[in-house]
Amino acid sequence: MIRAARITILVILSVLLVAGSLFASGQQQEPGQAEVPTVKITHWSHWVTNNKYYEPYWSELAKTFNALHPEVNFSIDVVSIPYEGYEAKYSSAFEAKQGPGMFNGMAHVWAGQFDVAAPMPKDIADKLDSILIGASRPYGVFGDQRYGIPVEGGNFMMMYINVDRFKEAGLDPNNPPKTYDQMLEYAKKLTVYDKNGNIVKPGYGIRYKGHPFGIADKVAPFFNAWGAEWYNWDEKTADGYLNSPASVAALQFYAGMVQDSKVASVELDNPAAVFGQGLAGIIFRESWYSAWLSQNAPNIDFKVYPLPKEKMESGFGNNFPWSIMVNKDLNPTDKKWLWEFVRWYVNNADVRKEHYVKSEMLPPFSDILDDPLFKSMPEFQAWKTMSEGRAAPTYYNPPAQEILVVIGEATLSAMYGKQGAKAALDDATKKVDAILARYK
Amino acid sequence: MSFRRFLPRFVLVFFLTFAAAVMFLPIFWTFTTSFKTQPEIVEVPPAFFPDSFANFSNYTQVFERLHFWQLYANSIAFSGVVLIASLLFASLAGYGFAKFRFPAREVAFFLIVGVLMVPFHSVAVPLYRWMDAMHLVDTFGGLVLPMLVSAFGVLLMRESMTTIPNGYIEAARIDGSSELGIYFRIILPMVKPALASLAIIKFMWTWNEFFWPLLIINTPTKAVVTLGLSYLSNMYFKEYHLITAAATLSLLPLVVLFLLLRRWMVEALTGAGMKG
Amino acid sequence: MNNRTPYSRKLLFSGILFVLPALAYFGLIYWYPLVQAFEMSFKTMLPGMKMAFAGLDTYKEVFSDEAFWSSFAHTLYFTVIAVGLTVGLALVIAIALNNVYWKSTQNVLTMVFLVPTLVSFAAAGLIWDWILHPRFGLANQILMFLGVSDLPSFLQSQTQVIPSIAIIHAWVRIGFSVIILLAGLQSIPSTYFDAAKVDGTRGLQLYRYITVPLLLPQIGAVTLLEVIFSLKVFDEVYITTQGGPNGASNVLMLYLYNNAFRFYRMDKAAVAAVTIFVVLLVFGIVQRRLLAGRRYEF
Repeated sequence: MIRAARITILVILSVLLVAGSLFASGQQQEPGQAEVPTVKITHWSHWVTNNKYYEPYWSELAKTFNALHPEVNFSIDVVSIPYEGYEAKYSSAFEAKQGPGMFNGMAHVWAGQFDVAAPMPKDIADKLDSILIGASRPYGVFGDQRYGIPVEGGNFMMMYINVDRFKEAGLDPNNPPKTYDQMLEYAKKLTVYDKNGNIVKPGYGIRYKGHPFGIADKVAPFFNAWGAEWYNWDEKTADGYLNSPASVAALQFYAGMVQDSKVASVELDNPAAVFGQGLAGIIFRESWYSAWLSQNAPNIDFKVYPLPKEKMESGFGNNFPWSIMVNKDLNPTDKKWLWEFVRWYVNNADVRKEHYVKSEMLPPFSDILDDPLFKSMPEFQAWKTMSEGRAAPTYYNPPAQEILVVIGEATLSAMYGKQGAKAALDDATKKVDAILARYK
Repeated sequence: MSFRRFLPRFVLVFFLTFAAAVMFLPIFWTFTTSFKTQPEIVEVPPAFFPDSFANFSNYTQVFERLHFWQLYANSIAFSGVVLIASLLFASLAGYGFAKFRFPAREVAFFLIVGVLMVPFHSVAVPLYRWMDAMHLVDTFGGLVLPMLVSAFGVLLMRESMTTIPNGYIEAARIDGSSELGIYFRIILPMVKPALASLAIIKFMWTWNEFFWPLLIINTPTKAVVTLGLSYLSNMYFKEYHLITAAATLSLLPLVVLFLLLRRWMVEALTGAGMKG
Repeated sequence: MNNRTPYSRKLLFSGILFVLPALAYFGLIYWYPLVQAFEMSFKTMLPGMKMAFAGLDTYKEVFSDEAFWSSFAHTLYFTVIAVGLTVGLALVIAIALNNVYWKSTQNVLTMVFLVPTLVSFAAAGLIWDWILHPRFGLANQILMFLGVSDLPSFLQSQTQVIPSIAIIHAWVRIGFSVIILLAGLQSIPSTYFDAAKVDGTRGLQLYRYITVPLLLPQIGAVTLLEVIFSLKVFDEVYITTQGGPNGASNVLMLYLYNNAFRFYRMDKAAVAAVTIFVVLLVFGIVQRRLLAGRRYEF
């Protein structure tokens, strides 16, 4: 009886194994036709999961392009790479010359650090520069050379407020704070404490969890508004920048929200969730967040406004300038046709408009903004105002990630009260100088 | 049985059951969350049970988005092949290390077990380049090759084979049996629990392997279950309603395999095979 | 060694042949990349992905990096807690299971303890991230229900984060040790216990003088394995805290990963890898020595 059971189990397992092997490894590709050159481009992106249409749509666009060009068999195959670990996958593939033809990444990494991105032909780059909104123009650029097409137009932070919480606190949701000092006053009114003095509903949702470079990304608008810069790439120095009085003031304000005025909590969830739960009164987030809210937290009544100013406007700025780039090691035929495709894409406003309307995403292109879909997005007005405003300093250089981590750690140190803002920034400056020194 | 005897035995089982329930709770929690909708998950405070256990939308989404059948097939093939190779290689080597003496035996053993002590992430990129040199990138062979033998398996096999009384082996040799014959007919049956344990462990480790498949696989149709799961998080947020569903799906085959093999394992553990 | 008989020489060759497949496999697949991985610790990474020979310079750079030492300290702290929890609890549970009177109940309970082992560390991290949520997680909901007033923040607290991750780690690993220890317990012939009882040993003394010493090989093996896993802890930290809050859960593997794949400093990562290897090596040797004389054959 038991023997029979065992044999049955073994048989089932073997059958499963065989079946699995037969169906594993997917289908093989069919060889292309000989007459017309076949150009099959593989596109790698870790962005596929961010938006249902944007990346997969490149395959569709390739088909349209292909129909217009009978002299070639052109197609794009989009491969989704998990965001967790994408750097490892890209770098190991590129190093072994197994990289994709086209990919989504940051130019200062793949062109600056790894030198695997192909420079964009001048005519396409010029055309792009003429149609890109100011906020997106630095994306895809390293040094003086453009390598990639910016992906998202709304990729900078804006201020989200919870209408109900504003009303609860006696504030007018149509009258947002215009300066950071005002914002602090608002936050003080918005914060709700429990009987032990712990924050139950924060006035400002602060980011303290997760990787330090995320922390640095979120504190950046504060530095920008105080007119502080992190470092000077040309001189390869952070001394006088990261530890300047303006920097110290900015970090003091930011950490003060946790330590002094207690309007932000390091014990609740991350800002996106805490706002979605209806707890936070104000958070800073990019344009994608409004779509997330309507899907995940439809009960939250929110408004989006431009970021406040202090000494100057916070400006639009971002530490993740995603752009679509081309592999410089592609064979000449493939590369030629891929740039043709890009040229067609950049030169055809209708094509680009369809791309972004289908993706329901704010475009980085100024010539297609007249679609009612974009205007209907809650963040549209704030976005337009900010994108026509000040450009915050950008730090798109090869050691960017490492430096972001240092700044993130200094920020955390101040937020948790381990160090004062000045001490934290002095330490950070030394570390950043050491990093920059290797590039001299 | 008298009550005096029964009570302490019952109490022991009671506490053990409580401990076991605590151990199982997180898995149960994941299971129930997989039936919740997104707003339910974000809701404050979260409910213990979902509004409806019949809410399969997360599961259908996961299957649609991730081509889960393909992922299952690939993972089964991956783990299955690795399992068979591991059992074979590890038991052969374990036997050699346990029952034979040859020069540099300890050194050789160390060289194998030493592999366990090296973090895989640091070896992964040179390994990838090595696979590329052999033209095995994005192939089943490349996926499987670095996982075929487990240093842990060799360790486990050696440990369990050391305790086999030499008498059996000597007797078989005197009877004229070949070394391989001894291995197949005497040694292997005596280490069934270790083999079954290694089988479950190796299958499970391979099933849960993420980093190597991430590096070596490019074509989506060749992806394994762990890669599929990672597509449910992105730079900005994690889709918990889908992740819990996918995690449950991912755990399911392991639990099934486990339930199938445990009878064998338990029987061999407690049965006559052990000591005479 | 020339006094080998033809018979013993045959045995020698058989032995070599048995281990040859595994040796050849590791030799062909792993040793070359391994050597390369360690080689990188003697180089330095230049901008543009080039490497140059640097002798011990990278070692100096890493060993003067405060982040390296703090992650080292955190990893050791984590290992002590995780291994202590895992092996300690597993021993208690295994002994308890061994004493269960009803066989079928024993089997079922053992299996339930083993189920979390099937979960990957990454999945466990995801699951427990949820459960240990300070406000809405199951853990604090239960504590609140029990009337606890000062609720812990688990993964959000700089002091509680490492023990919390150790709990996640132990949850996954306990079942495995339970199985091994239980198997060991069940293979101890009852004659030992009978003899001891005749001598008057009772209760806890039995455990201290009979059970645990006879179980030492298994305890040793399990401890070594758990130390190896704990020193290499990565997935749970990566998924939950990414080294936070404020660097409190920065572990060696995270330091390695960040340097290898986010800062493109494969040289520093290699130094971290060598460090992990050496620590494990030392531990393995020490453990072997400690247990060398303590194997009780029966």
